[in-house]
Amino acid sequence: MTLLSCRNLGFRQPRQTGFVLEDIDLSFREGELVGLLGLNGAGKSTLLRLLMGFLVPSTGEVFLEERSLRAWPASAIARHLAYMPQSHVATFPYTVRRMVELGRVPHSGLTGRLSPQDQMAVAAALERMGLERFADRPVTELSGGERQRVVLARAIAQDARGLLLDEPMAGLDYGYQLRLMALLAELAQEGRLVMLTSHRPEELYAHASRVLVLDHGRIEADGPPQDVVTAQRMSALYGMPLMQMDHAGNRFFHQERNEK
Amino acid sequence: MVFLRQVLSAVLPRGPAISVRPALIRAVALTGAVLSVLCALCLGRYPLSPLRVFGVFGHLLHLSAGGDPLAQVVVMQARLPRILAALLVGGALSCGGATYQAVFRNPLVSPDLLGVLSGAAFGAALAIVSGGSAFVVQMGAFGGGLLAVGCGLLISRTLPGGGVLALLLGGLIGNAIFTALLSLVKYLADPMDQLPAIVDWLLGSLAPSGWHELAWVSGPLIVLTVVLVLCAPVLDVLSLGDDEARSLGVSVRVMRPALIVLATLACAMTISMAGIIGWIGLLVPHVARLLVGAEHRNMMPVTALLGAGGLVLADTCARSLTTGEVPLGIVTQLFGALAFVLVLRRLRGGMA
Repeated sequence: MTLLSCRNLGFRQPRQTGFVLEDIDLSFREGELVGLLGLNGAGKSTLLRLLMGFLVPSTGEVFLEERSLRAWPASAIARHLAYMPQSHVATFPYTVRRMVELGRVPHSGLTGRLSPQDQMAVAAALERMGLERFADRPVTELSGGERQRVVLARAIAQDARGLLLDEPMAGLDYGYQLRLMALLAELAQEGRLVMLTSHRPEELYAHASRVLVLDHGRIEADGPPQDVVTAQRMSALYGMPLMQMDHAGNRFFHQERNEK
Repeated sequence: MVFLRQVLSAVLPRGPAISVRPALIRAVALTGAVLSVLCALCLGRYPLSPLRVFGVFGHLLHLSAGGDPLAQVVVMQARLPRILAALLVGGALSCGGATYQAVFRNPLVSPDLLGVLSGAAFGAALAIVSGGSAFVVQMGAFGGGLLAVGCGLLISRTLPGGGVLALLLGGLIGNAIFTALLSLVKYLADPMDQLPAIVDWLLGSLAPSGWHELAWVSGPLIVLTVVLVLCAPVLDVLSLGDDEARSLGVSVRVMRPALIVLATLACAMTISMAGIIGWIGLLVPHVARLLVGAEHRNMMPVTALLGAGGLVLADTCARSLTTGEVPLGIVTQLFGALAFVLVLRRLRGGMA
């Protein structure tokens, strides 16, 4: 079933003429793991923020379950969609547990009381991200990558049907990058829509069920990874000759060298 | 010990996983505030023993016969209203400061960020120069503070981008405008009597607080402080950043201005009552966070109690350290700055 879609979506900064995004028509179903590729500044974050309703589109509209996103109350959106920003600035030394508990706000309300069900969701999210041992530590004492995991744990605790993640792999060590992709695939298999922006075509090839390429504010490609994540398209996207190498269900890219 | 912990966490209205520590600290802070009130009742130019103070209350409640008229005047007319004023002002300023810090996601922010102080100073100075009564000066300060913040907010609306940065810049500009206007009023004021009155007001004092002055502010101040404490979970969410708060279903566009208005109202009222009392709003939230952690649900009640008790102590120092009276603003500024050094040294990790 279609969870999230947009029609004729466009966005431009106020007082500027050029569109950041233009003519975006997309629809996403639950169970999909969607990777969004594009150069820096291609509009990936803007697209996620439009889909979350943080930005008001200049043209077109976003639909959550076929209903205009604008007609949804904020707390209901939060029960359907969770979001992870590109970087989380930790200002106050909340404990890791409290940060994850905040993911339950859309369910428990703002009173701060957590039901046993909320507690279970928090514990499960902490465990899933391997954070139990950090639970009582202040987030300000954690490294950037650990903090990233805390924010992701919060999104998981939110128990939403869609997760929109802005470069979740940035700042994670290599092991956690790989573990994260496996985890996201797992979350999608459980019937959630998972959408992430990424600069790692190889990881998307291995795990995503669908890959989008965003170039100059338009969707240049949309399809299964085998068709989209190809040497030809990646060479065009990143502006350099790339060779592909397939091995055991994985695809790797390397730069073409002039060997003499 | 384990048993005690289990009993306490069963009795307290919170999840089982949360430690008993915040409740303990809250109890200690409450005891501290009560003790500081007792101290303040006893100390002063005419020292009273705790027994005589209790005697006064006993007599008032018809528990004991044979009054102590002198002690009764000292306690009921001179000290008690002033102490109550200090409690209210301290609690409200501290909670206002904590709210500002969370909403602006900056632990180094104090409640005068958006110009409430410069506006109130301008309003009070204008009232003094135009020869208004004490009540007019109070109203001038209150109105001026709100006017300045309103100006800052309006200016921030016209700036591109919006969000916290626009608010900061709007506040900066509003602050500058009203600081300039204050200077203008000072320049025009009669240097013989009006200018000293303005300077005196700017230093802050609870000396003029009697039952009459308490009457109109106490109700609103208590309500505002309690509301700010109850809004604690919202502060947790807002302090995460706009997008994250929105993704958790909290309407930043409604909540942030609402909390700013509440905190500003509280601060403007304290200023109209006591003049400019610096550092309490900045320092006390830090101390509270150090004691019970950053979670606002835990730290806001402690902030209110520490601020209330702390200002009572500061005011007691202000009126009893020397034979004359040291303006309270000077005491809080001096002690606050020194205490801040200690707080900052104790901090681990981030600047909070």
